[in-house]
This record gives sequence, C-alpha cells and structure tokens, in this order.
Amino acid sequence: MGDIMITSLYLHIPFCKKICTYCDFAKLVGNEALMEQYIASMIEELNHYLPLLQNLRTIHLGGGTPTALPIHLLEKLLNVISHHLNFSQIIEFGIEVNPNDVTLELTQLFKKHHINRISLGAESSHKKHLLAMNRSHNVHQISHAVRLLKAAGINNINLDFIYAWPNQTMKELESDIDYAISLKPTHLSFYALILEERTKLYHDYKNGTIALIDVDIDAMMYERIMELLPNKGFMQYEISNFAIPGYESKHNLSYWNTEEYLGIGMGAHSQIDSTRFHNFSSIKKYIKTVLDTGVGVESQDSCDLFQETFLMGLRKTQGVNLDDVFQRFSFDVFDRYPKIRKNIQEGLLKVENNHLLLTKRGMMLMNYVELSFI
Amino acid sequence: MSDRESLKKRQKHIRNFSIIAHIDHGKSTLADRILELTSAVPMREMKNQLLDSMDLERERGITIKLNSVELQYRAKNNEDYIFHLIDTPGHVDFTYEVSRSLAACDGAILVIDASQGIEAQTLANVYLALDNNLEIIPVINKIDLPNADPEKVIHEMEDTIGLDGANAILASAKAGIGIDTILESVVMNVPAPNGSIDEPLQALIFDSYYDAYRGVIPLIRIVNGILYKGDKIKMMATNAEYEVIEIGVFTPKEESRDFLATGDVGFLTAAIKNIDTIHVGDTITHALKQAKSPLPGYRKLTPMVYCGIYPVDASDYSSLRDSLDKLKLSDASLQYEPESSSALGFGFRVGFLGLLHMEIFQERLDREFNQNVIATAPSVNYRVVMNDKNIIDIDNPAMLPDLGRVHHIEEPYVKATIISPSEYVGNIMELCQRKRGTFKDMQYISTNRVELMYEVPLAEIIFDFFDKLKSSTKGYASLDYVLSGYKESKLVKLDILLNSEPVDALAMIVHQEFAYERGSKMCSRLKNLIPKQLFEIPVQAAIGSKIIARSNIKAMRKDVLAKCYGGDISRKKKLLEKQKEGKKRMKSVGSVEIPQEAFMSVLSLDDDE
Repeated sequence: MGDIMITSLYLHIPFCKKICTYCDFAKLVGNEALMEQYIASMIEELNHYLPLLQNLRTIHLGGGTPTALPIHLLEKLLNVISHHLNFSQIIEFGIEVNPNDVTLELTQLFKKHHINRISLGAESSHKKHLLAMNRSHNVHQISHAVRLLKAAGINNINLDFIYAWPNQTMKELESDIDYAISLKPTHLSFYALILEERTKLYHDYKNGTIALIDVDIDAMMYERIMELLPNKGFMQYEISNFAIPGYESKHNLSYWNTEEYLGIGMGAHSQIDSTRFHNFSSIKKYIKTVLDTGVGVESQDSCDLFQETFLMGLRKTQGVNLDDVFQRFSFDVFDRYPKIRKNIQEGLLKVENNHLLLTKRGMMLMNYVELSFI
Repeated sequence: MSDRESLKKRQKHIRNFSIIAHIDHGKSTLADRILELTSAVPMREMKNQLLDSMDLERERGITIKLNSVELQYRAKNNEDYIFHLIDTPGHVDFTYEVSRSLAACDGAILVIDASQGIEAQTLANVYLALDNNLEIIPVINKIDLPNADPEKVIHEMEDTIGLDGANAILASAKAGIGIDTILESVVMNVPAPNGSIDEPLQALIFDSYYDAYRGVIPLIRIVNGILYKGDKIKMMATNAEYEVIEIGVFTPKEESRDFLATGDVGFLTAAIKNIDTIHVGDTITHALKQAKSPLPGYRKLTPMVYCGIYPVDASDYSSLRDSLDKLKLSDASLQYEPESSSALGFGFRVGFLGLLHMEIFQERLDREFNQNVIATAPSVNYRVVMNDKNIIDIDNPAMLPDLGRVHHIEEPYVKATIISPSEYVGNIMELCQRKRGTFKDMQYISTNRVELMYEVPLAEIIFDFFDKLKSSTKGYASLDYVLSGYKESKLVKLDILLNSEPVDALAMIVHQEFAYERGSKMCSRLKNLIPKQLFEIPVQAAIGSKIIARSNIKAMRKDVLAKCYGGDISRKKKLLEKQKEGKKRMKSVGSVEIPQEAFMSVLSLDDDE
C-alpha cells in the first residue's frame, strides 16, 4: 500500500439529538459516555490510516449530525485532524450542520480548524413540513445560522432541501427555492424524498396514514427546480446538486468521479485500489473491532470501477469523458454495454464532445438508463 | 404347501385401509399417531405429518402424492396384525387417484372434525369409499376443542351418509385420545383381504413415482396371486412387459421383500423408463400366466384445465421440454404438446386435472427445475361445432376459428356440490346464478347445514368460483365437483390489444353477457399490472373488430435516485440487479414489457379494485 495516497476522507458521526422521520442512516441518540468512546475509536482508526492520508484534497464530516456531539468532543476530533493531516493541499473541508446548532462558539471552532464549507440541513422553509420531518429547527434558525457563519467569514455554504414531501405543493416548493436563494448560499441540494424502509415515514406510509406525492407531480417539481435554480445562477452539476460555478462540492465530486476515498467511523465505506471496505454498522462492534484491529472494517469486496464510472459519473451533468475512460480502462463503453445504443435512440443518453451524458429526460429516468450498465 | 397355508393364514391378519377426511380435519395428525402407536417410527425420527413427504405438500397442508405404509400391530386379542395404511390425496383435482387408492383398501377411517361437521369433500370421499365397498369406521376428531359438538356431527353423519352413529369413535388425534379404540376397530371391522394366492396374479397400480436410478416405481396392491422378484409381468391396459427387479414395502422406510402375496401392499421396480406404460388403475399380471381379465374401474385420465407454458427466454425452450418430460415421470396425469404464440413464441399447451394440479405443476417447475416461464390464463376445452358439422376441440382461446364458420360452441359443465351453513344459502344461490349455474337440488343435512347441487360451466369454476364461494360464506362453504358433460353456450372471443396489437396469449373465450364487463376490467387490471414504459401504451379489449373497452398505461416520467454518494453505490447496484431480475421475468411483446402476472390476471377480474 506504500504508493497509495488517498485524496478524500470521510468521517462519520452517527449521533443525532432527534431522529428524522425519513432517515435510515446509521444514527443514534447517544449518551455522552458512548460518544466519548466512539470518538476515541475514530481517532484510533484515523491514526491507523495516517500514512495514507498525506495527500488529502478534501475532508467531509458527516452523519448523523456532527454537531450533535458536545463541543469538546468535536474539538477533540478536530484537533487530531488539524494536527496530523497536511493541510497544504486540502481545498475543501466540509461539515454537515443542523441550523439550530450553529453558535458563535461553533463558527469560531470551524474557523480555527480550517473548516471551509458548511452544509446546512435546512430541508424546508415550512413549519408544518419541518415538524412532519421531526427536524428540531425552524426557519428563523436557518437564516440566523447563515448570518452567523457569514459573520465568521465562512461564505461557502450549502443548503439541503427535500422536495416531493407528502402533501407538499408546487407553491411551497417555489417558496422554498425563493427562500434558499434569498440566503445567498454558494450551493444548493434539492433531494427528492426517498422512502426508506426502517423509517417512521415508511411505517406511516404502510399504515396508510400518509400518502406519497404522485410521481407525475414529483416529476414536475424536479423540472421546476431544474428550471428555476439555473436562472438564479445555480448551475446544475449533478442529479440533485446546484452551485454557483466554482463552488461545486469537491468532496462529493470525488465520489462521482470514482476516485479513491477513505471512510472512518461506524458504517463508513472506503474505496481503495478497486476494493470497497465496509465498516461495522453497529457501534458496539465498531468500537470493539477498532480496539482489536485498529480499524473498523467488517467486510470488503472488489468493485467494478469501469461500471461504477458510469453509474456514478452519469449523475454529473457533464457526464463521463470517454477518452479518459478509455485511457484508464482500455475498454470501449459501447462494446461492454451495447444496450446504451438503444438508450441513445430513445433520447435518454447522448454523446457530446466525446462525453457520454444523460439528456434532460435521461436524468429524470436515470434508473432505467442504468439498467443498461448492469 | 405349508408355505402356502401359512400365507393364507397370514392373509387373514392383513388389514388394508386409508384415512379419508376433508382438508384440515386432522387426517395427517391421525396418521402420525397411528404410526407412533404401531412403533413404525421412533419418536425422534418423526417429523410432523410423516406421510406428506413432498415439501410442497407439507407447506400447503395437503397430500398430493400417495404413500402407503406397512405397520405391525399387536391387538388386544394378543394376535399380530399387518396394517397397510394407504394415503389419499385430499383434493377434488385428484378424485380418480383417490378412488384408485381406495380400491386398494378394504376399509376406511372417516375423520370428521367435531366442530366443522361434514363437508363437501367428506361426502365425495365417503361416496367413493362406498363405491369401493369399503367398511367405514367413523371417527369424530378434535373432541377436545372448546367448540366441539360431537352429538351434532354424529347426527349429521347419520342423516347424510346413513352411517350408524353408535359406532362413531370420539377422538383427538392431537391429544392422543381414542387412538387405541380406532386401531382395535380396524382389526375388528375392516375385513381381511379377499382374493386367493392360488389365482393368477392381479395387482392394482394405485400410484407411481419416479426414481432417477430405478425408473418408474408403481405402488401396488396384490388382489390375487403372488408376485416374486424376477417374475415377468405385463400391464393389462398398456400391454407393456417387464421383469421385476425389486419388490418391497414401506415401513415407512423402504424394505426389500422376496415376494408380495394376496392382500399385500408395496412397490416393485423393473427398470421402467416410460411413464406412459404405467397407468394408475391398470392391472399387473404375469406375462406367462395371465389373469382372465383386468380389475374393474380403470380409466384414462383426461385433463380438465389447460394453459400455455412459455419460456421467458426463447432459448430455454428445449430445456423447458426436458423439464416437462422429467415432471411427467412423477406425474402421469400431466399432458402437454408444443404450441406457438405470436406474442410468446414457442411453448407448450399443458393439460391438468384441475387448478390445484396446475399450481403445483408451476411451483415444481420453478422450484425443482428453476424454469422461468410465462403461464397463460387457464382455459377449459371447448367443443366447436363448425357449419359443416365438423367438431374441433379448442383448449386455447387464441385458436378459436372465425365465428362465421362456426355453427355453435359447447362448453363443459360440472355438477357442483356445495355444503354450507344454511344462513349463506342466499349468497351461494346468488353466486351460482351469477356464474351461469342451474339449480338442481337442495337438502338439509342438519338443522342448520345445507347441501346444494348446481350445474355450472367449468370455465366459471376455474375462473374464481372457489374464492368467491369462500368469501361469500365467511370461509364455511365447501365445494366438490364432477364433470357432467358439454352444453351449447353463447360464447365469444375477447381479444386484448396492447399498443394496438392483439396479444394472442391474452385472448379469452367468454360468455357474451360477460364480455363487456370482463373486457373493461381486463383493461384496467392490465393498466395496473404492466409497468409504465417510456411511452404511453393504449390497452384495448375487442370482440372481432369492435373495441369494447380501453385504458392507457401512462408514460414513465421520473425514476431516479436522488442521493448517491460513496457508500450508496453498493446498495444501488443491488437494487439495479434486483430490478434486472424482475425484468427477466417479463416478456417483451412488441415494444411492451409484460410481467408474468398479467397473463394470469384474467383470473382475478372480479375482485374489487
């Protein structure tokens, strides 16, 4: 592994103060003793990998909710990162933050530890939907958080929104968009609701107490988002992601470009040298395995990088550079996936400047197109 | 000669019997108890409900294949008896097979649930047993249940079957109550087998199964004579001749014997490779010293229900044919021949004894042979009388000739017997009326239970009659039917068009009066079953060139995963692979992908949506 150098690092904080009704991520409402143990394990795992991490370009601290940690524990982790990692090449150090967790103290902590991108879980600008999501913030707290961050000099701010939420109207979506733009962020993510099993939402759906939005309305909402955001300068660069040019998330692009990344923490994944590693997604097992082996790995499997280059790369509006692919793999995509010719005829895929990319309709029907790559 | 004398003495101590019961009345549990008490099986080897040996049988709680077990029983009189317990399938599809296994018996234990009482199936089986002159031992089972009413059930039994209630044994197979009494009653009341070892050999084939190493294995009851290992035998109906390689009995483990004498029940092997030579109901005799005549009651089975079976992937056609050939080895009643469909390509038209038989066949095809097939909706055999008086049998709706050349069409009818609590009589009559039934008779079998007789088109029975009967009687009614003959009907062919192209595999023959209703239901059903495609697809129902109903499958507008970061790709790929598997189970007809269920959807047309 001597010459392997990872460029992206993900750190997973699985704790939340409340559990959102739609979320099935590895997450816990933890007590402080457990959090302390967990952070110690993460630090141990991080130390184990340090030799591979000297060329890092991006770091992302996600969850769960990193800010669900007591500030001294978050600081403990950030201390290790800023002391042991070489920041000379790091262009993006991002963190996911709940709007109501943002305080002056926190913004100063971010500044001190070189965090330069904040992703705020805004989700909605409507009280009733925030309530239905079991989010703990209100709209004022979103605005307040943005003001505090900007005052601290952190201007690279993303806001996450969910659309196609049960009972959401087109008007409500449009007002979410207006609200988001009014906060002058650099980046916006609009995610269509994904109904995951093992969530309260799924339970309610199965019980018939809530109804999902009709797929045709969902489609219209998506079209509306893709029409309105670029008009305001937020260019779409991925299925659900929009940015002022230059502010695309470098960390997330590393996933869509199938670059190597290392994930630390329970349930985290890594992709190193065509192998994907899966960490234990039970906190007890994770902590014990780190104690025993220095890392939290439960299993690994090899990944078909050629295939994933398309499954991930087609999510980007610019698509996949076929010259690069050929150089990297010496395979021709049309030879390996002949069915994509049909997708081109169907008007779902196209080739432009030797990039293979989804058409607008193809973006809306990406699952269908992806079957040609399986 | 002393050997022959001891065989004759032994014959007097043989008791051949079976257990007959309606489904769930406790037949298998009673069989288990008998096996336990005769120590045939050590307790630890005992799996629940031992006689039902196929997985499918255990899962469905019904007996499909017959088994027979030889048991040793020392009676209270201190004499040793040989019991042959012969199992019977408990479903209307297999009536003929039941009748043949009963023909191998001299007595039958009739099990009736103490709370449920007599059901249609009970009656049908009792009549079969009486046809075969069997001594019947009535057992009222589950008497330990809180809602048991043995008195009432005995009353029903006396009224409907005319059995003497005084002889009924009160039992609970589950709790082990009354089992001794049942066994003693078998000794006392079931006669020893008739027949003589001095007569030429007559052995009744009452079942057969297939063993990959030894070929077809017939299960037999020796009615007259003795069969030895090495004997040259002849099948009297098919004239096939074989040399016996092995003889044996089941205890229930296989045990080899040198011979089987009059009254014995067991199996033989003779390297029989061709299932078509072994017919249930046929008589085996010696090739050199033949019996004068075969045993009575033999008949060749004719299928009641047909459906098309097509490989999803056309290149699997020959492997599908191999699987059918293999299935046929263990299921002699299966009949099939090649057919082709413009929508589905090359496949087979398969005939079945009934709907359950068809379902079991499809499950076995999937489970044991891993065949991915499309099954078309079941059809009955129509008799089409042409203008020139020629008669054509049509078991595939798509093949119905142009009605201009047809004089009239006849369809098969059954005589249906329904037993139900009397409070549902109104519902049942309404249902039978709606299913084009003709009322024949009604009798009270007790103060609050009724037996109804209707003549109903078989096509309506296979449609959804049984489900409807169950739902309109809160599950209390039971049904039995036998084919009663063909009758002229006003029938039309209903075509289904997808994207303006008729799909032959979706065509059906329906009564004129139901055509409009079924056509529009079919359109809305298909709209829900066929996944959205890239473009809008019209679904139409037509009689001839006249469109009578239509719906639209809307175009797919959005199908994309909103979030996909680092670790999500593994999960995403699993989903895509699952989706692709699902697609494999669909058939492309023209530009439209149709899931398997769509071809069967006609069966659930009467369900409320």
